[in-house]
Amino acid sequence: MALLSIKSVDKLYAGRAGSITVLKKVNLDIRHGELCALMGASGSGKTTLMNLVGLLDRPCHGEIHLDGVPTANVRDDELAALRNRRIGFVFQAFHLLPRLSALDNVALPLLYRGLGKRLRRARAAEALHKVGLADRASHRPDELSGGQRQRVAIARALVGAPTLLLADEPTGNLDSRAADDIMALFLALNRDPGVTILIVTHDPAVAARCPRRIVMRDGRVLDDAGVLPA
Amino acid sequence: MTAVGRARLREVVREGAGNLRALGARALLALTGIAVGTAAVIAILHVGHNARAEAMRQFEALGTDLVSLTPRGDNHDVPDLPPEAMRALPARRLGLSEAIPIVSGSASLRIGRASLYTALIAADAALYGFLKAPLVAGRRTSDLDGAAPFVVLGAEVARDAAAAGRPVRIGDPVTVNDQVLTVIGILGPAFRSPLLGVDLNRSAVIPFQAARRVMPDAKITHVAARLAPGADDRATAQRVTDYCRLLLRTGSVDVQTARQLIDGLEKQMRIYALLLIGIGTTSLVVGSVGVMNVMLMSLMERRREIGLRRAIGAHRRDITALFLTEALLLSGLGSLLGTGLGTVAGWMFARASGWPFQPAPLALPLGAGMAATVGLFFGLYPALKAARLDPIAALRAE
Repeated sequence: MALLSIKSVDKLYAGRAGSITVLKKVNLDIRHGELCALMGASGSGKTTLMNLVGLLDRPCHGEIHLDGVPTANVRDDELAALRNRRIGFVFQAFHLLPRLSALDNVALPLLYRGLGKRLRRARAAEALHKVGLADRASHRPDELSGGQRQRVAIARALVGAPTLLLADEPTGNLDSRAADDIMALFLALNRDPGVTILIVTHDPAVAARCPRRIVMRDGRVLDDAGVLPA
Repeated sequence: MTAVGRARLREVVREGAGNLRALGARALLALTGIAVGTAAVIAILHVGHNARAEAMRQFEALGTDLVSLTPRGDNHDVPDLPPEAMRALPARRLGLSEAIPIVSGSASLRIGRASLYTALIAADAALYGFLKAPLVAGRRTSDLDGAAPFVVLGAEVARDAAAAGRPVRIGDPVTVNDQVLTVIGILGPAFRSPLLGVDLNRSAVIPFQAARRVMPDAKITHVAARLAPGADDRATAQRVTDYCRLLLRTGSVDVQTARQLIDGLEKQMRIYALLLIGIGTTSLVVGSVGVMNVMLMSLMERRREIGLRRAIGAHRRDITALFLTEALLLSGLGSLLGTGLGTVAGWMFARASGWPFQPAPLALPLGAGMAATVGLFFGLYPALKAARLDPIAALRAE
């Protein structure tokens, strides 16, 4: 069974000049262990799709199943719990809290799982080790380079052992060498613990390294052959 | 609360404290506002409490059963109360057990080289007992002295005279309003009577009959009286007033009891306290708006943080708790500071007034209560606003 199953999802935004359809009948399945790039021009709806997949927003029509769990009629608090347990977010702007050390930034998602401080820190140290930043645990974000910050953010996404890692333009703020490192890290994580990863990008170099590329145009997902579904 | 809950609470508080430190000067400003407001209210409470306690002490020292009779003229013609009729008041069964006519005025005294301006009191010997005035040297004036030119000096008068020259001794001559009297006794510290307006410490006392000799107008100015045991103060006052009206051809007598005076004083204190608490509350509200302002600004600056926390699994109530904790910490710290400052201010006021300081029992719970109220009331709006932020929009905020 697919890890993520999106069935004929529509998303409309009500604006002052009538509603705008951002997603039209989107169908998409992502299987366990896949590493996918989600591509498309700006305005093609990939960020909107990402927000829906990340359970930060709800579709107007259609269904999204994550790990076999339907998410349509789930209360707000339960959505937060689902995000906490099953999804790891990586953002273009890192979104690290400046006052916390790298270790505490990584441990933050476990706070909302109700774990004790010692356990949180132990798990966070493991996650930092996985991204190769064990020696930077006590540094604050402003003492780290861009690539290192994004690694901390990836460690934060990994710390809760999610089934799906969502990365929104993870290399957008990085130079090409740091971007290469981050991509290499994603590939390694996909291979070793077998994390399913979905990367939103419009960098062809990033997309080229992903085994599966999903292309969006005008609110629709092209099939893997690059053709609009009928 | 479970151990996990306690640990969680400790963490939330610690995190809030860290966030406040990050706010820096602005948090300090809001803190000052709350502290000043609380300090004002607390100081007022302490001062009011101590002023009242002091007033009660003065009354209680001489008893709350004192009654004062004051003749009042219709025009400027103050009636001349007959002294014998006044002394006979207890025998009339009006509800008084004691009545001492007093002629009081002021006089300039010369003792040796010292020249003093004091109260001059002509009264029966019973007044000493009435005001519980102790004797430190010589003897008191006695009813047997008649109009003899004798004088007894109050404690502070004797001290002031000694400070200007040599200590006063029994038998020394004293010039009072150009009459030469002889000092026959010196009093120790005596209680002031707020009801009678008599302070023996700053007075020279002469025999009642001697008033005609020394004072320009020897009419009775007060009668110091005491309620009979079990007598009702209002009814007695009315009876005495009626009795005196029959006795006098013109004018009347004002009868005031200690009870009435205490009631009046308490009413006045309550008005003052209300007024000042109003002022304190106003400054507290200003400080509270400061807290809300700081929290709203903090909210604007931390929208991305809120978005992130929501994305990684924080419930709305976690965000509410985060912001509410900070507001409560801010107001709690401010109130704590203010309660301390207010208590110090109250203590200093009591010291400056020469009163023993007694902390007002209401001050502490009120201080804590205000902190909680301010924090909850003015922190809830920003906290709920933060919790209602859309995580997607918050994450994209600049």
